[in-house]
Amino acid sequence: MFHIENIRISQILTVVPKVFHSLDEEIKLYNYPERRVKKLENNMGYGSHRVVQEGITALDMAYYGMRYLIDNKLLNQEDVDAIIFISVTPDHMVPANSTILHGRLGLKNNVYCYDINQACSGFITGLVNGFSILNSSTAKKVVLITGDTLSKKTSQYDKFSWLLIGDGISITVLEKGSSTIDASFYTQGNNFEYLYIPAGYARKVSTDETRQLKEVEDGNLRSEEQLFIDGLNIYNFSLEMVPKEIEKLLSKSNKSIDNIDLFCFHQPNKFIIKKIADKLNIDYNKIPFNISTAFGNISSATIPTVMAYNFAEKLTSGREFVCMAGFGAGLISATALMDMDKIEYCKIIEYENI
Amino acid sequence: MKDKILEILKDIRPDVDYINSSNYIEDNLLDSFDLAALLGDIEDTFNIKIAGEELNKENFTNIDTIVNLVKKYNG
Repeated sequence: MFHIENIRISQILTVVPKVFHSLDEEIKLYNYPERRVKKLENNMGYGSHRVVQEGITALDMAYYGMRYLIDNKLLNQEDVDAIIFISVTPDHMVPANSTILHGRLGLKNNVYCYDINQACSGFITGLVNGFSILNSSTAKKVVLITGDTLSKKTSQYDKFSWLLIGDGISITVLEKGSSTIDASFYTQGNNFEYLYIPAGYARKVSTDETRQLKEVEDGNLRSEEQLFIDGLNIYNFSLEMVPKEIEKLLSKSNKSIDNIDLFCFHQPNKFIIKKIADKLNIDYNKIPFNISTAFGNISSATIPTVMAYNFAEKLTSGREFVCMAGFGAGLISATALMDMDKIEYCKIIEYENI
Repeated sequence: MKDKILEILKDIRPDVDYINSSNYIEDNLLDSFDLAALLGDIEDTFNIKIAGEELNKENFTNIDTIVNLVKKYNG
């Protein structure tokens, strides 16, 4: 378990594409009966998801968001001492997105930059990394960027993945302060194939064969270079491990569910979140289910987006005790309890070409 | 109970013969979307809450395994 003190989140800015695709329109691709579509809306909470235009990447959205913060004098670029970029859809495998962003922004040369390959559990990993930097260096501000353009690695003809995913990134500015965080990580690496992209990199390099769309389960079409999700096994993992990990962390931190003001969880769909909430007896008023309806599953940007979309007023008004959970690829379940001091800024904006 | 569950299954996929099929998951007769719908409809129909970790292949293999699962929660 990690226990880190004297830190805080000062700003959260989520950037999402303007374009959204609605379930009603997209479902026509799949010859899916209307009756079942209604069930998808009701049970899974699917409604619409944001998708970037051709040529736009997570890095572009991060640059746009950073420019927004700097140009609006919400962040002084001279104060940035580290950039952590967490994404599974970087512009290139070499070099890291964080260094390219550093160059595009024209930041000073002693900024510490690195990327981490993590998806749904990435935000909590990023917090632990960023706060650890603050507590072990002279760094004043760490910029944590989390998010993806999963649409680029997902087949539109695979309903089990395409309807879920959304594009977007969040910028979270970390500083020294009076907040504390407890965080823990559970990894089940032997089951990595339940959520992965089989080919296109070193293990199985890109070929005509790996790029070819093939009919897979239930009439879906997917290439080996596109995201595969084993839905049932991901349900199993999430519904079994996430509640257990939260209970464990609460116990180690001498806290109970009743001590938590807000629950900010990763949201693959409404069904999983409601089941986790039921298991832990969480009051539905404290745990939003609406991100998968409004944005889609936006990978490691989901947790900060839950905060910005649902709790911006609360988080910018006073102190809140927040429980976070991120779970998915790895397989990893990351859990955090954070006694959060007031945030200065917490907002969602739409990306525009600049 | 069995008839009610079959009715729910038929409502999800009217084209499938759920009585004579022996492995719904392996035979792709229920996908992950359907399972979420099925669980939700069963909970509403029988006024029960089924724990999330019960959502596994074993409990949803065929009509008998589903009936056994519901019985566990429905007395």
